[in-house]
Amino acid sequence: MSQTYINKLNYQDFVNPNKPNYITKEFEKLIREIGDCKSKLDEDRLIEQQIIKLKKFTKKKKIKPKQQSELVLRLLFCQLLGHDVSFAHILAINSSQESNLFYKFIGYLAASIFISTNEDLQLLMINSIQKDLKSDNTLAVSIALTTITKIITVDMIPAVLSNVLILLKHQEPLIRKKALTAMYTFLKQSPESILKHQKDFELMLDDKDISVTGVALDLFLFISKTKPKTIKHLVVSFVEILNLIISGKLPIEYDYREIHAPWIQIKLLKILSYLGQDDPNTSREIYQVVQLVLKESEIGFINGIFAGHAIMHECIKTITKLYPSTKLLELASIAAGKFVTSYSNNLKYLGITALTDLVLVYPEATNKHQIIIVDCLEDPDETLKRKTIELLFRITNKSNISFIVEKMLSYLKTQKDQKYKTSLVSRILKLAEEHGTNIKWYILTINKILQIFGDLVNHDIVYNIMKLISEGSLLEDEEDEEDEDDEEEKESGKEGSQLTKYDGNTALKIFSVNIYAEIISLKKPYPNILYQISLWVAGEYSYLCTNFTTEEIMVNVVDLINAFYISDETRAMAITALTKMVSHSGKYLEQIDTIIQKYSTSRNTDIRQRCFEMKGILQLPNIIDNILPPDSINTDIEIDTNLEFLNEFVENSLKNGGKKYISKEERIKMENELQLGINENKKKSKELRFEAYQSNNPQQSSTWRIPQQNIYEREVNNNQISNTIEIENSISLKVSGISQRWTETGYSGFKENENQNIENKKEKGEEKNTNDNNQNNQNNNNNNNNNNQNDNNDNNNNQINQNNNEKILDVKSFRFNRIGSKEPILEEENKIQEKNLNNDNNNNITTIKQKPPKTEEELKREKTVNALFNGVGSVRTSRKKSKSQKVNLNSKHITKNTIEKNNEKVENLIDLGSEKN
Amino acid sequence: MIFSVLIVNNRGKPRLVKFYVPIDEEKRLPLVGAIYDVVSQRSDKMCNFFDGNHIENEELKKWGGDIKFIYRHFATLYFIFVVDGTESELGMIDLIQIYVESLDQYFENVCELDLIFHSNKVHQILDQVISGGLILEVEPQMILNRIKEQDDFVKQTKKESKKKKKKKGRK
Repeated sequence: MSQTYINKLNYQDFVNPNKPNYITKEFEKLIREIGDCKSKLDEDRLIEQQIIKLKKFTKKKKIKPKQQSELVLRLLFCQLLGHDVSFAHILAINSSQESNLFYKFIGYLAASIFISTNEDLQLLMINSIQKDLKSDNTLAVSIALTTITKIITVDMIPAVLSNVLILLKHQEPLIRKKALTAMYTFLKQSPESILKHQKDFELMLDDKDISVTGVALDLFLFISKTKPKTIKHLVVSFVEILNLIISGKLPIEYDYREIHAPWIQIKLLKILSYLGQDDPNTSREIYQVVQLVLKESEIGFINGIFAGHAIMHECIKTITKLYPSTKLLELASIAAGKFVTSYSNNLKYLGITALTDLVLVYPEATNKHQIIIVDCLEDPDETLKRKTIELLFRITNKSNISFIVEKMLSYLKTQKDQKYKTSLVSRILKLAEEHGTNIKWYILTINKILQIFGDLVNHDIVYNIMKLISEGSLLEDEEDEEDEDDEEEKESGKEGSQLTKYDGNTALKIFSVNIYAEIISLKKPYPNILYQISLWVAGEYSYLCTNFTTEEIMVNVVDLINAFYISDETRAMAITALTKMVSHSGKYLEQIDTIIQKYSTSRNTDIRQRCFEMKGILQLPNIIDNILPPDSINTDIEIDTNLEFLNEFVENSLKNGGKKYISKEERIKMENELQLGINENKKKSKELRFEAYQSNNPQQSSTWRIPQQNIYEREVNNNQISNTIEIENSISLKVSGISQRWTETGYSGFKENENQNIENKKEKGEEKNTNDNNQNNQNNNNNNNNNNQNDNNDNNNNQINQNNNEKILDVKSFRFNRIGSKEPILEEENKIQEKNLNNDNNNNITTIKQKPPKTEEELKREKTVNALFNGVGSVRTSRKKSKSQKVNLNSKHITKNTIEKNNEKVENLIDLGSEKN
Repeated sequence: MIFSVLIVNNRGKPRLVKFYVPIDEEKRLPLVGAIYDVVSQRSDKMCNFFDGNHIENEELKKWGGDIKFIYRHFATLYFIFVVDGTESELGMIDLIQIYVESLDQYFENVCELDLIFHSNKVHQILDQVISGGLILEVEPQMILNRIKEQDDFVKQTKKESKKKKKKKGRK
């Protein structure tokens, strides 16, 4: 109870003459104490105490009916405050079975509140309900019917249905009404079984008492919503009833504030709207009566009675649902105008909702009220604003788009609900895309949105904008395409781009590069997404900028890179943009050196990578134009997803004893089998193992697949590939994958030998370009072995570093040119990562995973393991060879042990193997 | 149809909680609380309705998508009706008015305390206005007559039983 309220209450208030005599002093005290509670904790404590007391009472065998109903009231009070009183539900049921009506009322009331979902107790109630339905006392029948509506479930319907059907013909209108409400509850739960009795409801439509008809209409409303076809023949009677009501022939007692039976009118209109939906013939029967009702309701509207407004509102809704009739739609839009122009927020709200539906069938409806509608956005009422926004989305067209978007944005700034805001931003973006006529306006608007709500925007918009600027296709031409999937668009866009006119496009590019260069120059903490677009545009088209020189833009970008408010992702993009600007303009700034120095040690690998890329590119003035040609986004790049250029390398390594690639699925499968094998044959393992090592044969085929091992892989294609020079000349370089792998392993090299690395690179200079691919491959091989075994050989490391530098150069153009399409890169990267993993595991796993050869099959495998092992070893460096020999020695040694000790120490064996390795 | 009728005071304490659809006991008060949170933040100048989008609650989703809340604020109490799309908003506002008028006439100047002491009567009056989620009676006088009928009947039976007791005592 409210504190303020309690202050008003003194003890006299509790000796209130209104206080019913069935409230005992104890209950009264409880209510007063609860009222005095200052915290929820105190209150809970009191109620807990009370519940303990009540529990004691319920355990008594005999309770007087009076005391019982008093207890039930107390329980109701406790339950209302959110406490579990399920222990006493039986009290309520007992109370409902009392013959005294007063106690029966309380019992039924409590039962209907307590047990709405507990089926066991519901079944207990059925008995007393059945008894009371047959009672002579109308009050008892009435309360039983009310309880039915609250506790009935599908299973219980047959038990009471026949009784209720009889009560539909009861002489008391109240009982007939309540019986109808009970039927409504049945209808909702199992429509099929009740629709058999539809004839019975139809009779109720002609009831003497119009309020009974009113309740019957609720049943028909339900049917008209779900199965409108089954009651089309009743349209005439509904229209008749409606005519009867508005003609004022009903007794005065059914009027509500001078309006004739407003709720029944509303229900009838609702039913008619469902029946007339998409049905021209039925709609024609309804037109006239709706028009009449609308006219009548205007009287109520003038008097300012809500019920009158309600009917009018319902008329508008009905007209929008019926088969369109221009005359009625005009009337409806006039009526809706009255709502919108009203001073009451309630009516405005309804007017806006009505218009939202109306504009779909009658777009002219809002023409007169646009300004009033937009003004609703400045109302303090949030609900009204949201409805208005919905309406605005529907009435936006090419002529009012700029005005409406502006209003929406100013509304957005005041919005606090983050989720709603996000959805709204994306909808506004879509709206601008759909209806925007001017591409410059579109870009400016998007920028405005990004400036404020950049964090909420889906990143697709970035690609859209980039595409728009690079291709320069006008919004009008693309209107239809915009709705399609983004990815599809990009692909089709590339083809279409060659057809677009370049003259108009250049103007657009100049325009946009000027805007974005200015955004960069402002140096404000805008959202990253805006900076990302700006940097990309500046990087691509800096040479077109008229308001700034390229140097100015470069200085600004350098400042931006050093700014604290941009993310690493943006910073990386800025570095790339800088590279592009340098390569396009051929101008160089001193600050770039410091940038490179500062960020080549960045923690972010992407930034580091791009720094090295930039450094590498800047040292190659000869090919710089080929790597980063101006306007390269429109150049089509073919991506070799099969990595065919690696075929030669793969074949070579296979010839030299490398192992074939086993796909991930197969590997998992094999490992599973292996696991099974381990479990089944644990005991036998020692014997088997011994045999396996004995039959170790180094000259066996080296391309055998071995389940226990993850093996270096590559699918072999017959196509041969060219060397590095060729790859560099064609910009559509497919080497990307390799470089990624190399950069990863390479970085560890950098950290350890950074200085050496830089020196090496300077020395080698342009020689790198002519390096043979095969050589690289061999280096790769060495590098892998060394890294994996953690042998840091200086010479080898130098070689690694060289490799890294070259590979970075190879890939840079690939990276820069492919901002729009991420997925191919990912695929390749995955492949390469897999490959890396295989390599990493290769050496370690051979010894560790060999443990469990058990069956004869496994035995064979075991042989091949050893064979392979030797084979690989021989291809690799001499040190590697000796290693593998050592391992073989180990295994022989182990096998001897196992013969001697026969059935013991399997673990020992494994330990030995891993230790020596 | 009407899903629920709630009376909550200014501090969020429920005074009457009635559901016309099945709902588990433990889920009732959280739902009432969620509705109160929205209602209490709205000023009296705002409109008297809002839709289901404003409240996230699993129970509401079970009842179907098109849910509206219509409420009125009287002194210390909020009267909240939860209804579906087939009910007219303005019609509901008037229905709240009818219910409150009936309470007011029955209790002669109704106050919050009456609702606590006479919770069974408050329920009974509501049962005369709404039954099974449908509007039953919209004339306050008729509603009061029914309740008085009941009261009179109860009194009669009490007198009769007392007489019987007396007779028994004499015997």
